[in-house]
Amino acid sequence: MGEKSVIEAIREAMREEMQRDERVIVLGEDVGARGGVFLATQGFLEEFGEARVIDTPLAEASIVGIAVGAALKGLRPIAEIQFADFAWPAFNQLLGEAARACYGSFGHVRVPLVVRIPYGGGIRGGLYHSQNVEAYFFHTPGIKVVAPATPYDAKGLLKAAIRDDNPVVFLEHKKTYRLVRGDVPEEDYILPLGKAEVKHEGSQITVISYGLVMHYCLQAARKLTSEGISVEVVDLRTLRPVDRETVLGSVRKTGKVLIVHEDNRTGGVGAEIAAILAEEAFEYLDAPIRRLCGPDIPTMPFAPTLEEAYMPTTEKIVAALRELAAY
Amino acid sequence: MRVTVELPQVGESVVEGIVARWLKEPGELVQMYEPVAEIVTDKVTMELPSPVSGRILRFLVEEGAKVPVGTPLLEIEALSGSESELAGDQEGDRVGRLFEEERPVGPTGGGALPEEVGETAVKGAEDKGASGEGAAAPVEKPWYSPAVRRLAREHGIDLRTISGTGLGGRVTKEDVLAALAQRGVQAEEEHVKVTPIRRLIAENMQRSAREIPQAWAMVEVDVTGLVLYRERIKEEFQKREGVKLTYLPFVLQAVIEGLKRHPHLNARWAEEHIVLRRRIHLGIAVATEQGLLVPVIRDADQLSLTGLARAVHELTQRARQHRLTVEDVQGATFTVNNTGALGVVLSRPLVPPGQAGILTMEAITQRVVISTDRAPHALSTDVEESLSSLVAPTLSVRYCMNMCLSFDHRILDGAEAAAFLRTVKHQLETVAHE
Amino acid sequence: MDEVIALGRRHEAAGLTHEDLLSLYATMVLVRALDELILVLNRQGKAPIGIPCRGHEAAQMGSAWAALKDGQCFFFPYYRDLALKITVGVSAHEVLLSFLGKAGDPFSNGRQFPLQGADLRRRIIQLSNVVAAGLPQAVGYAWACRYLGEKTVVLAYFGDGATSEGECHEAMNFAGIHRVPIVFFCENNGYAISVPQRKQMAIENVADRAAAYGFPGIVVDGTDLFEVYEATRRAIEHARVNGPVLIEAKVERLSPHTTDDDDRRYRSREDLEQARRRDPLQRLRQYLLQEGLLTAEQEAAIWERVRRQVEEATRQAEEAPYPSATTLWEHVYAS
Repeated sequence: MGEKSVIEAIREAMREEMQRDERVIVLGEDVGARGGVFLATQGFLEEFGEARVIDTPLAEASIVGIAVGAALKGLRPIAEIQFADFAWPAFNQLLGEAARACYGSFGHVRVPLVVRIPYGGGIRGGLYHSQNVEAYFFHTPGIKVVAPATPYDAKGLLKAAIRDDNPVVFLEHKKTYRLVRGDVPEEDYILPLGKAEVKHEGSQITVISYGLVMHYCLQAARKLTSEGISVEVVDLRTLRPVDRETVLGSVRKTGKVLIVHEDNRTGGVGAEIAAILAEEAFEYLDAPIRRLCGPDIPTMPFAPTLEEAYMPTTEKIVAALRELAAY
Repeated sequence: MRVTVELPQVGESVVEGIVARWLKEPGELVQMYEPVAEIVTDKVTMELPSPVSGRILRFLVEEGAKVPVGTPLLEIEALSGSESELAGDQEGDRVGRLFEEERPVGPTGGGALPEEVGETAVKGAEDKGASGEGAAAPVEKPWYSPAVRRLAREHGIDLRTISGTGLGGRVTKEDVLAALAQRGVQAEEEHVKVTPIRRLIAENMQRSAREIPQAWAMVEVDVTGLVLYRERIKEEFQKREGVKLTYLPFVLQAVIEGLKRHPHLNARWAEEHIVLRRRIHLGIAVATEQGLLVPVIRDADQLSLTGLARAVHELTQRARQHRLTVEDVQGATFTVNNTGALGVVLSRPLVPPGQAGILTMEAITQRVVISTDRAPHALSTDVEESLSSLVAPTLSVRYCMNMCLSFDHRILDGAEAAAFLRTVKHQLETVAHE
Repeated sequence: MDEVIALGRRHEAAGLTHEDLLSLYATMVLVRALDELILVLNRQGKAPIGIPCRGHEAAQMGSAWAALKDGQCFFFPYYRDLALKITVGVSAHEVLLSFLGKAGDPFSNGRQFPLQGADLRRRIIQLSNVVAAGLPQAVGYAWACRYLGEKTVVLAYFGDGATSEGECHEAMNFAGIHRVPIVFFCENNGYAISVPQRKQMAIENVADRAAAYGFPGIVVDGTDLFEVYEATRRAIEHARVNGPVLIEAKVERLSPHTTDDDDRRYRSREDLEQARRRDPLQRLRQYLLQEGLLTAEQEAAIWERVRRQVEEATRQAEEAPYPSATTLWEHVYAS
């Protein structure tokens, strides 16, 4: 058991899977000699060679498109899109093609593809290095969408994603790469896709979140606990399929819920979760369902004052929780 | 594709049912024909099968609710496929700790050493931020949230008696739970939930008491002959027929004879006229752990003693195993209740609505009786001879069974009721002579 | 048929036998008959869409035949490749099941547009209607075959319009860099629905672009079965060892884009008449008759056999059931 950062955990996951299965390959911009701009694939070119670690041209559509083709043949490619902000050209191959291939061929072919995408803000990235894109993937049947927040979860879920026979979008919040550290076991383990986790138990209010801001939710929960308000934090971990059982179970227990995510509010993951809760936990609600999200603004601006105003912070979460508790 | 399952029409006279309990949970997978709920209609419990394979989406009706036929009960998403489950176990600091940057270093990071964010670094909650919104106070008049209403309903609480500590004086879930806890401490009484069967019985009996003017009569039956007869043949009967021979089939035969001769006992009150029924369907009361069930032997008069014994056996079995169908409990024209099996010697049953009477057979006891076999000597002039015949009656021990009849006094009077009882009594007292 | 020049035994020079030719001719007749039938079914309201390949037959069949002879090829066709699919083994019955959207359609069991999805027995993948989206996939597939040690060459088919898509460029770029074993086969009929070539690109030949990607590109007469066959045969051999080849087959589109298109809005009848002179079926027929490789009786027999085959296939396909609604949810995910 050692303490690792998120990026280290991700690197380990990929390395172990590549050692385990020759069909696993990595492709993307700068993944080879550079080891990836975030160093996710550092050392891979030396260990696995050029045939398995491919520096692609600067062309997101074909990074995913070629990975789809390779997956159709039976390889298990991990395609890296350097920033979520650049994923838009790849939407055609990912959502228009990969997501529909199994259904459209009546199961004759499958696409065991992982597309890793660093996303999210709080790193002074401006409009084109801070974007959240999960809602678009979240909406599409035929793919799975994973968004871990901790090193332990990142490693176990990435391994599971690589072994999954479906296209999986693996979203990595770039601010957590080096700034979240935690225990990661040495031995081989995988975590099931589609299972959320209660990261902090409580009885009065449920907070549902994912990604970086989940840690802010934990901070807020600990603070409120010390004030006598018992807050439960549910980390979704997988966005699609969402773990309805855990989410509903928690809200049925507490009766009050706050959904927190960095992504824009309208049509975000939180909107769907709120709808599910209203439909299936109505009788257990003791307060309106609340969301605390990124505003409906095209992503986080560059200036620090603007970025801070945009981002859900621990303080904002604490305030919202206090209001809910008093309701 | 979303499938809505409604409460089906399961018997002619069935207009409503109670959802006794759900057998699955929302989110659970269900196979086609797998039971999803227990429904109680007219004293029988049946299982509602799923029309499709799929996943239970949600229930539209709560447990215990009584709904008319055709009411949508639940929704199922007909689907296939499953998601695989892989286990993982946890130790140590899996949740991880969040670190803070000292200075901004561009989108890919790299450079500054991270510094851990301490608990004390969390500032006071001053600004709401661009992304939060103020919580609205609840509306003016007493407003109860869904959770509060559910708790109140489940525990029978009058919400007006609870003061609220929530925003604007709202009664919160905690307030209700606190009140319940208080109550539990002080309670001298215990509230037991009414089961669907209990509720149905209560309604039937209430209707009986309310609508039918009931009178009551009783006879004592000397069943010595019957007892000895049965004793003699019961083993061979069991071996030959495979079912036990109880007293009930004999009683039923006697009742059938009684009903044939006294058709007003096999009738029902229909305001403008009395409906005499030609066919005889005997309801036999069976005590089960859920409550009293009354399966019916249809056309009982067509059955021999053996046939009656079989029918009794089969219906009793099914009643105890909760396998009675709606048809099994419909259409009785007269009811017989073996209260004697419970050790009772006298009872006053309630006439089931729609029938003219109900007859009990009480416990068979041994009594000392003055034998009336020998006709008393004619009074002779010889006083001593007369006296001696008087002071030396024959005492014998006989088996006796009381039979009690409650009847609808609108349909018949005591005279006919008594006549019926005499017929039944005579039949039973002369069984061994056949 | 002024254009037909007798060149001696051209088919032998190309490497085709008499048996090959008769088989190809019979297949081309079947393709033509099905093409016409599907149009009729569409006008009857039974087939929602018909996608004719009239004019493209020699290009599709010549290349497919070369691939079959090679024995280690895989196909990523596009929506107009009816003749190719029949050549590689899709039966008339299956074609009609697919156009009618019936259960048993080998590509997608009635979920997709006709002959689209995946028929792995015939070594075909064609996932969607998004033009050129299959090209990067074809490149990735071919690349993966080589990674796994196979000798497979992928043939990726597309029209002139597809070459304007960014993904076409990206696919060819990557293929050129990594010398992927792929033959890019462009069936250039001069129209992308109504948009003529001069509005689609600034150049005369699609094949000229290959040089920009570092691999050879050749132009062939797409209505000449032998030219196509020979060029493809050599391209496959080259691709297996040296990397991509782009073959541009100049063909004529003798029908509108699909049964939804009325080409009278944008195409003159004279233009169409001119194009009809290059009908590949007539061209092959002329050759066979002139070279004494086909008698009138044999021809009649072929047409008769095809007619019966198509009638029978139609009857069976019309009687076949549609996929049950209970299958709607299957295969959203691979399990």
